[in-house]
Order: sequence, then C-alpha cells, then structure tokens
Amino acid sequence: MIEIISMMPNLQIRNSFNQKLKNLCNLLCLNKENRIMKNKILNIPSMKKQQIFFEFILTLMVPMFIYFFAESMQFQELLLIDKLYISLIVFIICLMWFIHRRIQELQREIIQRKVVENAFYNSESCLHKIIEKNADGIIIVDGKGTIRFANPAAKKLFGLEIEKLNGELFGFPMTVGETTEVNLLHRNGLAIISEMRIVQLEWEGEKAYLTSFAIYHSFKNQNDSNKFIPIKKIPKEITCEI
Amino acid sequence: MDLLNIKDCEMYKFQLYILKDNTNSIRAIEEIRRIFENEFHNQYTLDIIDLFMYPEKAQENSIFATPTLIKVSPAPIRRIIGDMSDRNKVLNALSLDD
Repeated sequence: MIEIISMMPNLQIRNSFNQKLKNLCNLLCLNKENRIMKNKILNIPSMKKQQIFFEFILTLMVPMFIYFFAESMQFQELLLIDKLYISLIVFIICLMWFIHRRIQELQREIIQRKVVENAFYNSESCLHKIIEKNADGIIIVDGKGTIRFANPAAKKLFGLEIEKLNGELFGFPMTVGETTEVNLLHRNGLAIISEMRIVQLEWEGEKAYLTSFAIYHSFKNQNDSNKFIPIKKIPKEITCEI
Repeated sequence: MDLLNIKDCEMYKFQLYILKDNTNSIRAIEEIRRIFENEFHNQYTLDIIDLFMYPEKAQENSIFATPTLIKVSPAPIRRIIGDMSDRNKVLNALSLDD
C-alpha cells in the first residue's frame, strides 16, 4: 500500500482556494456595476399594448374633435383658414407625436436589450472565470464517454492541451451522483490518486456528465524498477495556480 | 437491452487497464471477474494490462485513468471508468447502442 503523504498540504491549498473563490464571486458577480445594471432593468417601464392603442385612438380623435368643435361653435368666420385645414394640421401634429412615442419606445427596448446582454455577458464571464481558476480538474463527457469540455486544471492533470483533450475517448464514468477513487495518468509518467465526482447534466442539448477530479496525492513511475514511487509533494506543473 | 442476446453472440473480448499496487485496481479485477464469470461463463477473454509494467500502453490506447475497462469486441467499442461493483451498471454501459 502506498502511503498518502501529501494529503495535508493539499487540503490547505483547497481551503485557501475556496476562500479565493468566495472573493472572486464577491468581486465579479455582486459588484456595484452589476447592481446598477439590475436596477436599470427593473426601472425601465414596459409599454403595454393597451397604452399604444389608446395613443393611436387619441391621435385620430383629437383632430376630429377639433373639426366638430369648430363646426358646432361656428368659428368659421373668425378663422382665416378652413376648419378642415386646422384639423389636418392638428392630425399631422398628433401623428408626429405618435411616431415620436414609438421611436422612444424602440430606444427604450434597445437600451433594455443592451443592459440584459451586458448582464448576461458579465455573468457568463464570471462563471467562465470560476471554471478557469478552479483547482479541481473538470471535464464534461458525453453519453459515449467522449470528452466535450476540459478546464485548464484538467489540462495540467492529464498533461495534454485542451484542444487535444476535446474529442478524446475518456470512458463512461460509472458512478453518477457519487464519488469514487481513480488513478489519473499524466503524460509525463505520473499517476495521480484522485477523487472522481460525477454529476449528470445537459450539454449542448445532450445528456452529459460533469466529471471533476480532486487530487489526493501522486506517485511516479521509475523505469528501472517498473514501480510507481510515492512523491512527497505534488509538482507545480500538475496543480493549478491559485 | 437484452442481456441474453449479448451472451448468445460471439466471444467477448475485454481489456482492463490497472495499476497493480492500488486497492481500487485490485477490487476492479475481482469485481469484473465475478460479473463476467456469472454472465458470460467462459465465453469471454479478459486482458488485464498493468500500467506499472507497460506504461507505454497508456499513451498507445489513450488511457486517462485506471481502472478502465474496454470492450474491444464485438463493436461498438465501449470504455468505462471507475467503480465496477454494480453488475447492471457495468453491463448497461458496455452494451450501449449507437
């Protein structure tokens, strides 16, 4: 049996990472800018269909009212121009007001869309950073066991570029929703005892498995003796910089 | 999935990649042997490849972790990783259709 020598320092690294993860969330997800954006979205009033219909009716009714009012009160003699022309001018003014309202509404919608887009982009980049900075190796495998996504920590664990990892046949993870101990094989000859945790999720519309690896400790193969020797400290090249 | 149909067809060929000194690998060998003996009797071959002895095999066959069980034949090739104690899960994972 191989002794687990370097478990304690590794736990310290993980605790410190969790603290930094919290700070990262506070900085990125709950910052002032995002709060202002959220308020902006809530403060923008949405134009209801009834309101648009009311404004349209008002645009038609006002010139008609002016026309009939002028006719009933017999202002014809006092006015220099015909009541029809007055109504027409009022109608044009009302129409311009209606168009202006619609333009305003469109502008409001554009701003709203931009704010939502920015909020979405910020939240996505926040999640992306959490995945990128996570000390645990994370891969997503599809139903056939092919790697569809790998984070930088996984790249370091396996000693392969992310581009090379994507599309490789990893294998179907057996214990979905549970944790199991496996030995990860680094390309430089290191074997890493790791806890493999598997969670089922949907990835690009298909059933997939999020597989994360937490390192226990590692040991190295010595070519002379054909034996893997435990090493006291996990080398920097396979651990994620925190 | 019909397990009876699987058993009736041609000889099954499996490869199990392990690291010999590890408890999880030893356990995987025992569990896989137990499952296969019960399911296929003598109608299978199981190659146990110790990556202590043949580290180059890991790169040749793109083995990322141990224990890894590969169903080499009949097609399609299936590969499973991790705890292999559950008979139903192992057999289901190995005979998934395309």
